[in-house]
Amino acid sequence: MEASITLKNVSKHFQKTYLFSNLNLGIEKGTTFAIVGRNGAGKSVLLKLLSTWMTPDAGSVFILGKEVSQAVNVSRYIAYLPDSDCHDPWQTGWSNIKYRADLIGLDEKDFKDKVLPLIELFNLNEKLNDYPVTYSRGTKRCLNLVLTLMSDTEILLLDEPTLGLDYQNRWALLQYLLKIKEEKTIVIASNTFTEIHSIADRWIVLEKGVVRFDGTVAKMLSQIEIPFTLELMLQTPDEQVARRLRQLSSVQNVNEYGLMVRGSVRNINDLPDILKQIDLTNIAGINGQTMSVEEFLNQLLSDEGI
Amino acid sequence: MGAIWSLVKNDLRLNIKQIIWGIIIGILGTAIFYLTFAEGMNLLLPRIEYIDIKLYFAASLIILTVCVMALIVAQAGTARQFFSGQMANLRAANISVSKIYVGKSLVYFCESLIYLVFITVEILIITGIHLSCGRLLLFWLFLIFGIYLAVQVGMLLGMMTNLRFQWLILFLLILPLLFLSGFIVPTHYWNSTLAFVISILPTTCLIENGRSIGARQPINPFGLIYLLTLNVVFVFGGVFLFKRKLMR
Repeated sequence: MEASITLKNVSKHFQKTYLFSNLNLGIEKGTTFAIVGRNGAGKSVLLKLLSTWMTPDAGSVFILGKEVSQAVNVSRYIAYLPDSDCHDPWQTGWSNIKYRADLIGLDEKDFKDKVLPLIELFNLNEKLNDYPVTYSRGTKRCLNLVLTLMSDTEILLLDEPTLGLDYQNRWALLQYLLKIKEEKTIVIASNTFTEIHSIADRWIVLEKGVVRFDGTVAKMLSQIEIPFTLELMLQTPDEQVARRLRQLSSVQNVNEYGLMVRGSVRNINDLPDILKQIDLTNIAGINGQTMSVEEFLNQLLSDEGI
Repeated sequence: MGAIWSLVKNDLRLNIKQIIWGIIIGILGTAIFYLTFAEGMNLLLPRIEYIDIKLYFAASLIILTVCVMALIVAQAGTARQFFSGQMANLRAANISVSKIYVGKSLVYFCESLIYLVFITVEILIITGIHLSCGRLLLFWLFLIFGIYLAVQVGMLLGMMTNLRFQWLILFLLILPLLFLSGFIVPTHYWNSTLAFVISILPTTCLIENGRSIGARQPINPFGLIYLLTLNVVFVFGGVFLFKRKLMR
């Protein structure tokens, strides 16, 4: 498969600390690639290297077969959403969008076809005449997303794209990415598995600049058994629920946090039996989280004896 | 070119208020400089080298004020945009670093040209000097190169991480150098070594030629070539440093 982005022996250091040392990575054209890791793992720096916003101290970055240091205008193939704001707070939302459209050379037709649907998608219409300083965190993120996605480039690099988004906008973004994923190479960095699980074809898990895992979800699950975290929301304080859960051998690490009881379920197949054995009359809601980055890394590192 | 033009157009539109304030402050500042150097010195020394003191300072005052304004506009603008992340944001629009550098320098250059027109008119009115259109255009031609150079020096200063150093360098190194470069004392009064050092300052070339144009004296055409060469060197150097700063 043809590579869209290739990193060859890339090293990057800040002062005397090496963040990446001889990193090699290839991202195939037309795939959705996820970079997952804890805070400070190097996800954002890796995305900056891929986006050509940052140059490596050693090694080479190739975008669509062209070496970044030699090829001119490689950045025109890339749209990059940084984890920080990428709009001008001293211009209204609409001015920001029009200005960006001007800069990337969109004509009226393209603007109508590509940008207006994005504004609609993220429900920005009512906010566009205001200055972004008055926006909420999520609305600012929506504006950043519109500014990034309107470039319609071959490669899309998104750093924590759902940061601050409400459920509706998060869903809208995932729908949009699912729609375009066949035509583009998408790289997403996140510190949670769940939000990008539905779209990623391949994952890497970064820890302190080292790729600890590279593969698919199926490979990940075959390699390591990741516990399922069960959260029960109570209507009124009730010690019985936690006590009952502690009695079950399939549930471990049961803890109470006010009106919430949390426990780890080793095997997700045990979940129906667990739910049958507790009184659900006082339960206001049930949450479940699987594949936490923290759990995955802890198990991976302990298996490696680190 | 489209991206550069959009950048210039947008930034000028956003800076209209600041440009108006710049014109007001520039006119006031020039009047105070004129009072200090032309009117004040006139009380002690009516002529320098057979040139009327008001005429002697007219060109220098325009050059001094406009160059200082160009330096500050470029330095403050660059520093603010780097600190706020706006400069990096332009990269999100897939514009190459060299285009960002050229676009930004043109924004500051256009602002400074507006100040140049207003301050020249002010000085011509105050001093009552009559310049032919040809001489005025020649004077502006020299200043166009000088202003673009000042803009680039300002941008280089603005790229420095330490804001305190930027202002210290501006007021305690560049401003005294402007005064030294023939602003008050003509270059040839200094001993040969110092005269050589002063003569290679671009501001000396600007001030001496500007004064010659005002006094209807012959100008040094190599001055234009010298300023043009310096501008080219600074564009390449500026783009290189800009790239390093933006892609670090």
